[in-house]
Amino acid sequence: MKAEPSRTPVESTDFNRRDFLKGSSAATLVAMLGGTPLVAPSVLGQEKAAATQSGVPLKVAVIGCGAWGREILNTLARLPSAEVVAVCDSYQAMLRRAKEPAPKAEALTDYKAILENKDITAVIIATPSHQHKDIVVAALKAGKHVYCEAPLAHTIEDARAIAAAAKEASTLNFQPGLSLRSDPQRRFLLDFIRAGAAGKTAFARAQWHKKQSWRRTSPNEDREKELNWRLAAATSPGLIGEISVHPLDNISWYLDSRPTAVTGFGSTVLWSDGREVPDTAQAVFEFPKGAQVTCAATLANSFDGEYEMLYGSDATVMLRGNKAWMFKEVDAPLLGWEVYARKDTFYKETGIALVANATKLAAQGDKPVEEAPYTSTPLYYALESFIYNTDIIHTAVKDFVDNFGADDKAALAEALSKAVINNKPAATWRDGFDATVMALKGNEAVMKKARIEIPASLFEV
Amino acid sequence: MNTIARLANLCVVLGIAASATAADMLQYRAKPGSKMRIEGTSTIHDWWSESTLVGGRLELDPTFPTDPAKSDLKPGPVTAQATVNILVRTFKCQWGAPMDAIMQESMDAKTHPKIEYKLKELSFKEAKDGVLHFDSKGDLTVRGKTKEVAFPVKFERPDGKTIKVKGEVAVKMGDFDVPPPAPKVALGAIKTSEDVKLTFEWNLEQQVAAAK
Repeated sequence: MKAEPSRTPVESTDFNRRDFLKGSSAATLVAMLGGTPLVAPSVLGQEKAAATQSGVPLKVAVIGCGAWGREILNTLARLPSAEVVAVCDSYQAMLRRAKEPAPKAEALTDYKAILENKDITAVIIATPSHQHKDIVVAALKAGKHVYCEAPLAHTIEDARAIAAAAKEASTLNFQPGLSLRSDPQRRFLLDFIRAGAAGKTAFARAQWHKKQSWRRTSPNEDREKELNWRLAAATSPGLIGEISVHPLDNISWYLDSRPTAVTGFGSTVLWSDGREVPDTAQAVFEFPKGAQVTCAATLANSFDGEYEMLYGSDATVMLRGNKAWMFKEVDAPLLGWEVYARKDTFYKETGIALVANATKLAAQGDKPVEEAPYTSTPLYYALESFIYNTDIIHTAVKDFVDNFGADDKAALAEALSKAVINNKPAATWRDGFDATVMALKGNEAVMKKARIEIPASLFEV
Repeated sequence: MNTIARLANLCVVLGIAASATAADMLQYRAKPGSKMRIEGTSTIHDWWSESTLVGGRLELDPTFPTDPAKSDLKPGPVTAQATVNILVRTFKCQWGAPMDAIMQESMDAKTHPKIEYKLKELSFKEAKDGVLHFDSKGDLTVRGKTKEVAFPVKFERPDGKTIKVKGEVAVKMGDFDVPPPAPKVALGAIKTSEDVKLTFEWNLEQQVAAAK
């Protein structure tokens, strides 16, 4: 991410009433919502120094070098605080492709070699979902900090095993791949929605439309079967489990509750090639206060891509990537600041732009222009949080043990709870497990074309 | 009774703080649960930064009271040695991770990872309400620069084997060549005030004498 040089205003640096009334709306908005963002001088430069506690980058390994594993490698290459020292995949061709984003990494076909390497502090697991459990449990046992892609697993039992292992490993950092939890725009909207700006939520809808087959081919028959784990009922979490898990977790997070039942619809509309997993799926989740949350995904159509809507009694919130808009109901109470905010028109509706990081834009000029406040992906923020948090936890444990020894577990836990107060936002094992359970239940409903209950006891670990 | 024991008895009777040899001093080492808080202010808001990892050791004369209520110390110097060290990276700031980074940069944590203190003089004042009050003088080293600091300290004894040392001292960042951070924000820059207050609570427990 290229850091924009900040242009400090020539006048007084005090935030004064004149600016407030003049309607420097973005700054006003952020000031009213609290917080003055601080930027360390070193961070303002083009190149971020390796910001680990020791000054030396954290050594990590990536296990699973398919398309997403390589996306992770590309992202890690932009994080100077991380050094990928090993990559692992059971398939040689994938290892060769992983060489490009990670030229200096050692290429291995057996992940156990990585777990035995004492120099490697953390592992990132991006294998097919049904292979997560064994690797995660072994990695935690070997004392590695773990980033495990979402969904955690393809069955609730496996997901529970992962959650239990993460809960047990109290001195290790476990982060599920729910990257939206680390995204600044989504975090900004959390406070906004939880404060009740949208009113009572009636509907929420998450859609993902992307016309593609999902079937992969290989001259090798066994390899082809392995590659198409997403199309086999035994190994695939389905569209809802693989794709909708992310917006479903996001909406559940905003609503601060978990669904109690889900009804599923599934059909194969376009790709009738003998696959067991429907190419078009919808799951309608029932949330406690009456919100009906629909997750819709299809491989047959691409219109309007990927976005979420939250339909509330006072306003509707549209979330598209790192942008968001609020459409107020005509009888909703006036918040005040929306009079000055930037607006965009969608057909006949006028949306008020909700922009995180608005003060940075204000510093670059008077009006927040129509541009995204930042251009990094949620994955970048998630991995940045993972590396930072792992480094903090790892160093805190080391410092404690160096000073006081490892015997007093309670004291270590207490010290650790104080050491992580400034950790970067990230999903926890609890978030990952809950989201996986919800999404897998949704997939189950899709496969059964039925309504199924989601008892609270399912979420117990 | 041998000569040394007689002499020691004499010293006790005369109320002189005996200069015990190193072998006789009671060793106390730091234990978890301590804290060191730095408090300051700036043009925008007050701030604090706290570490819970205060390491080091304390050596006290065997005659040091184990129960403040039954203390027979007389006002004046007591024999004691102490070294304290705190890793700069263990400080967590009130205003989040960006402020942690700013603090570490200001303190040049890469070159000078620790704040260190060495006690030079400890002088007893009075025992009051189960607390022993002393005046202390010692060398504080921050960002590689050492300066003598003097401040009152309190010793509490939760039990005969543990000690809680509490104190506070006001210092100026400039005394240690620490540049007050002036981080840039959207509408300008925050200027941090030079003056800071250090407040600490140091927990120690007696070490069983190690075989020489």
